Amino acid sequence: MDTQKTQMDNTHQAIISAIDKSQGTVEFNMDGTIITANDNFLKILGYTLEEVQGQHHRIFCEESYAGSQEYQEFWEKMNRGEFDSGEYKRIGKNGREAYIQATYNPILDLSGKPMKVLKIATDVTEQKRLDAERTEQAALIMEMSTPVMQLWDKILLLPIVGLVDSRRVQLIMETALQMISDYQAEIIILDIQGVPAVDSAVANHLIKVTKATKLMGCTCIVTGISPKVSQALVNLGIELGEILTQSTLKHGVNTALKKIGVELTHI
Amino acid sequence: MIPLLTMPLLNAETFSIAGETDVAYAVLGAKNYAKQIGFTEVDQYMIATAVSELARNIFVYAKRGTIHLNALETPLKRGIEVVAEDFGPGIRDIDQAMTDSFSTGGTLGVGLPGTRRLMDDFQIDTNPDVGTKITIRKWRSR
Repeated sequence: MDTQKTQMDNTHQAIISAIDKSQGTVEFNMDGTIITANDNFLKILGYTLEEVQGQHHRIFCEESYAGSQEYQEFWEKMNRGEFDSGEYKRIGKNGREAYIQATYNPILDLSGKPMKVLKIATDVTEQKRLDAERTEQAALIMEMSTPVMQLWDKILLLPIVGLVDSRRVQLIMETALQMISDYQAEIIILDIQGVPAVDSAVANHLIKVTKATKLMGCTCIVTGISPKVSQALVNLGIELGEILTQSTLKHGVNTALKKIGVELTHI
Repeated sequence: MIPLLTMPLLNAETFSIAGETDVAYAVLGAKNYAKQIGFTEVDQYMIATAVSELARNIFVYAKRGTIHLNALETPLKRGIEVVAEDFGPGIRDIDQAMTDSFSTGGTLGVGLPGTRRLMDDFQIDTNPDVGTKITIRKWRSR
């Protein structure tokens, strides 16, 4: 029995030391004051142990949150012995912002009453920053890549390059309809050669755009349906119905010019 | 589908899906992965389209999930395996979801049956409130 107990104690000790080495940990009293914190945690927020010991957890929170009903409910939840986990925004020393992925674990005494809260945290600030940067770049690329140009009197060209998602489609739709009205266009060419994958959602969006342009009395020609795109569309089972399509932009331009009674000839 | 003993010719790749941008990353990743396995351009495009369908489904119906890409190799052929996994609401009626023109999401409703047509193998495991796992494979001759 004793060996078994020692073995278990050793295992527990190893688990605790592994957590301590790799994660930030803090212990709180049930009123939210800080009992102690390890170096990993202190490093995330830039404090020393002396600076936080005895302070309330709210020093790590934004004022608006610390004063909220939600925050009060959080500590009530802890006092009921319920566990909480998630991603939290925290404020470090001198107001620096940090994001942590954390779990708050109430620890019960022998009578089953919560006696303290153990928080285990990982710094995800850098990851958060990279995510935000990526989203920002994606948005920027999206904005830049919806240029509608006038190709000829009454003919507009809208090349679509890159990902087509619901936000982008909204933008394409608005831009296209506005330009049709501004230029009194009779034909708009949507070139989708640069779309990495025309799946059913993209096709659905394209169908909507062509329907809307039609309502404005404008013919929409979809070009850039290369052999691979057409095979994928057929396999997917997408019916483009009445939509005028052409394999290349060149063919599309020719068709458009003919429709307004212009023919290109060599000189 | 029969489980295969495979020799990895490429490391597996994983894309987590939590937003529409992630769908694009997974699509481009899948296309590139298929290219490295040696698929033709037409096949690369079909695989990318299939991944686009599955990744978008994750985003629309489950909010979060992952796309795993694996390279398959048997003595006779090479292939790609795509596993789309989420912990979303699951699919209530698989037969209905696999029927053309059926959709609960206000779309064309060809996504799942279409994905099956784009690929060689298609397997779906779904459990209400647990999640959905869709495994698709495409083979090329060598």
